[in-house]
Amino acid sequence: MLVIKDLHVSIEDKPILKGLDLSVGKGEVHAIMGPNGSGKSTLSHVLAGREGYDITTGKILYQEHDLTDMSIEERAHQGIFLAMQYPVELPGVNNMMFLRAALNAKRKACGEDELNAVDFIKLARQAAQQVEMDEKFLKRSVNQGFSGGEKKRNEILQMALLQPTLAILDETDSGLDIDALKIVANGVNALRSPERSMIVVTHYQRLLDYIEPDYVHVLAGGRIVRSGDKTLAKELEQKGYGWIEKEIAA
Amino acid sequence: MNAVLKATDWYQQLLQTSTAASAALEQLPLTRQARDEARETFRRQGFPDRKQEAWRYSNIQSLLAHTFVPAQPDENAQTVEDIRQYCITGLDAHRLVFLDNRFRADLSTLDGLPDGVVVQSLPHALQTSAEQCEQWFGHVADHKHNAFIALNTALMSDGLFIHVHGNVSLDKPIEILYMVSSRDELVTSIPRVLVVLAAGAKATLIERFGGIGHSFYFQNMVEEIVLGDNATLDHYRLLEERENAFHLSNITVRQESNSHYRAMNLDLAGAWLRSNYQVDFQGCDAGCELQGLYMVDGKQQTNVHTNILHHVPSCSSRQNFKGLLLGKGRAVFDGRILVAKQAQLTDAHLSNSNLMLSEEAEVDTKPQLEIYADNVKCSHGTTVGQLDPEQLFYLRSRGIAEADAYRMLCQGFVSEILEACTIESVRQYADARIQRSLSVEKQF
Repeated sequence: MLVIKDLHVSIEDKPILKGLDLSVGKGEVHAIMGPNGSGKSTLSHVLAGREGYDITTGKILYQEHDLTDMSIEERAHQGIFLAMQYPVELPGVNNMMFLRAALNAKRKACGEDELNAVDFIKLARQAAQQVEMDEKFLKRSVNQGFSGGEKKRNEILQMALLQPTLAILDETDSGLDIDALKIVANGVNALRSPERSMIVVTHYQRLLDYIEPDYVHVLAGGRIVRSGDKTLAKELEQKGYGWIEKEIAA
Repeated sequence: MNAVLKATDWYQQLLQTSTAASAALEQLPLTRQARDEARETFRRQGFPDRKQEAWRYSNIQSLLAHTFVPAQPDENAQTVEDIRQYCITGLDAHRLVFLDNRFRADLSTLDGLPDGVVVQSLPHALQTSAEQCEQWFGHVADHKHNAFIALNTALMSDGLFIHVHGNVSLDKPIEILYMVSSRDELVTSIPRVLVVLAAGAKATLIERFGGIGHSFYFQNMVEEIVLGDNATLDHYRLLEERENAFHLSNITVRQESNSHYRAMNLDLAGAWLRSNYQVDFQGCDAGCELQGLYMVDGKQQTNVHTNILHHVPSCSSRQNFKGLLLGKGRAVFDGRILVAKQAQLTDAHLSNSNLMLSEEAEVDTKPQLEIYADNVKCSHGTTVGQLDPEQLFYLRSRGIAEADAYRMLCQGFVSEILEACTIESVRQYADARIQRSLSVEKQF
């Protein structure tokens, strides 16, 4: 599904990722953990194609194609979805209209018929139920005046509608209380499928109590320094990140 | 000789020779006096220049670089069928047509007007001493100090008088089309309108401006509006002028107690547009809401000037104008609120936001609050910004093409104003026009 080889990424000549390797198979859930400033968000953004990141060396292959050749929207059409850490507010842009535009853009790119308003509303309502989001949020401007939890639910709602093949959840737990976290995690778990891979980026182990990963990787200093199963997350929870940083330094 | 002097000379001559064009108006003592005063105003002060604050940012040179002659009415020009194609789909309204300096009753739909609503040609109303017409004509707009109001007053040959009697509510809006159909270039259209809503009257006015002949013309409009106690006027103005056209409107509103004025000013097309709104509160507890949208592209220029005069206590004013600036477009927003010493408990707010979509576009925004009372609530805010790259990234990461993302964000920006258009067909019409303009934008 996704193969990253020796990835080096800089922002304004400052190296952030320094030789990152990662391989994500079909249907697998990988957690990427790491201290602040380790490059977690950079990795998420680079996968989504955000501008402002220079890939100096290395390769990202997605479904055996070079991902770096694709525009932001092409990646979305090919099934990549980034649930943002800080979903931006879009004043005046109606959520329902936005969701339909997104889904239809993808359908069109895949050679499918665009959905009409009536069929789409049905679909959107189902998705809203799935993430326990009040339908009134569909009628409002995208994310405007939404609480932190509502914004994250809106992200998962988009994921439910767009049915990505590779979903990247960037610090989805940040700013959520435990109830909101459970709802979001339930939404994500409902979307787990053998056809869908996920990368769950998080600072804390807590999210992984609810979204159980197949693999856990520790990102520090711009590289994956340790990989394991979910027990690695528990170890990090107990020991913190300090010991890993010491090990790298040693 | 510079352009301003040359143009001043030209209009001086036009004023001297224009008597024959409106013999009827020349014979009425009232209009003769107004015309004499207006001529005198123009003779005395000529056109404004950039040294005058109200014209500091407006490029008057481009308007005065041309000499316009009054459009000659042609009673055979256009048919009801011709006019129909310019109407807004789905808008059910009483329609009035002012074409080439004539109120064309034959192209208008006057039959269905309810009792208590008078619509007449302005000279006819003055000649027949229609109630309220003589009282207010020339007394709301100031032709003694404003060169363009003076020119309109001295050169007008026809106009409209609309009078809604006390406590009468119009069943549907009155739509007025101001059109220039001359095939000659360099003609000027001089609409003059007096709207009087008596106490408790209610009306909606939708005014649209455009051209269907040569695209190079100048509309110089003066509109006087009188709102009696408890009267309510919803006033839409859609400037849809041709690509080379100039447009200047002076709208002066006089508000009595508890009256309410709501303006929606939509600058949609034209080479050079300027709308001057003056609201004059004469009675307490009155309110006005001025909202608008301007969009400029290419080398278009647009100017919105407001002047809200709180002379009496307890009135409220709200202003919210938004601008989209593309290409080498230029916009000026100049919003003044005056709160006189005795105007305690005034509640005034002004907001202007601009979205710059091109590095070559320019906007000058200038809110002015002059407050002489000490117990008031007044505020203003202006912003000039660009599309947020974060927002663009968000939309694109959901598969929405960059050009569509731009359009969605621009539409989002203007939606606050469009949503205040309570007439759905007008809102849809304006929205479609904006979408169309945005979709031809090459830089996206």
